[in-house]
Amino acid sequence: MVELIVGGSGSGKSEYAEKEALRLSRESNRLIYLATMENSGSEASKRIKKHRENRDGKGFFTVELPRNVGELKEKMPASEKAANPGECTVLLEALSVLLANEMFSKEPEMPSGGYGSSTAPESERVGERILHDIEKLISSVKHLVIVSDDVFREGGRLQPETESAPDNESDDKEKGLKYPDITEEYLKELGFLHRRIAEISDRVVEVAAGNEVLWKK
Amino acid sequence: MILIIGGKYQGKHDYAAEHFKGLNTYDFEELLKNCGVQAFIEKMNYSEDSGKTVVIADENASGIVPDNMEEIRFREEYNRKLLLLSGEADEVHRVFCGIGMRIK
Repeated sequence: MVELIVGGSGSGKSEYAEKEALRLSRESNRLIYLATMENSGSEASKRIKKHRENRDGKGFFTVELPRNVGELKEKMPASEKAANPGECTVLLEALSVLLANEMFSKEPEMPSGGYGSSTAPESERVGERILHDIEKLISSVKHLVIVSDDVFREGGRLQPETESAPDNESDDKEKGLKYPDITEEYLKELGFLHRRIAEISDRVVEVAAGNEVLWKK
Repeated sequence: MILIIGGKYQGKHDYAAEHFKGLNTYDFEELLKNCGVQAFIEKMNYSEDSGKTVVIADENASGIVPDNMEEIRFREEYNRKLLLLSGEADEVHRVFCGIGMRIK
């Protein structure tokens, strides 16, 4: 079972996803929280610690994996490896953070700033590479619940009217509302991932003010 | 006329191509810029093409209100005209993660 859960910030999607993972884990042995957030300082680590303790109480085992999520199996601590990963329910939070890590932050142990040991060729677009990692993850666990952010309905900033130079036709076709290129690129890749993951999901849910809107069931 | 709305990169064009193949497809923002939405609606009312027409529009009103009048006016104008078009549409579909839902 694969489930994609998307909502705005503070929509209640995390709580909803936790409930879903707990429900699904009743038929599996292990509950794993795959945390993609990078520990970026003392304030972050305080928050991470608090959330982690909260989840541990509910039976989640937390694995931090800010990139290359296809390697969950290899990154499990020895004490946990005995458990058959094929029986695990995994809650991945969040796809949007994973993409930001892969696009914008360099991997510490990779001085070249490369994309780690992902088997995908380097020329591949970042969305494709993450999709491969997700597919690998899906094939290695029993249930996967993926949380992501709905960031697509703001549009962007109004672009200044381009002086209509006759040789600059492409600019005239620009949309009125647009973000800086790097942000557009991020939205494009996240949109790609949402569409492709929705295709391979059994269930797609939008969470709004704590309520579910079922897009696929 | 069929209106398809949704956020950026949600797969609105693919959805239109899959479900409304062969229909004339317009981009809402182009309509807004070029011929005007009111004129488009009037044209549709007198034309037999109405049943063969799809308009695709980005949703853009779910962010913080912009800090300058130009952007506030753009969004207001955009969404007021979108509402007008939506009122005239026979069907309105919303696309999310590539999945469509008929909301009118």
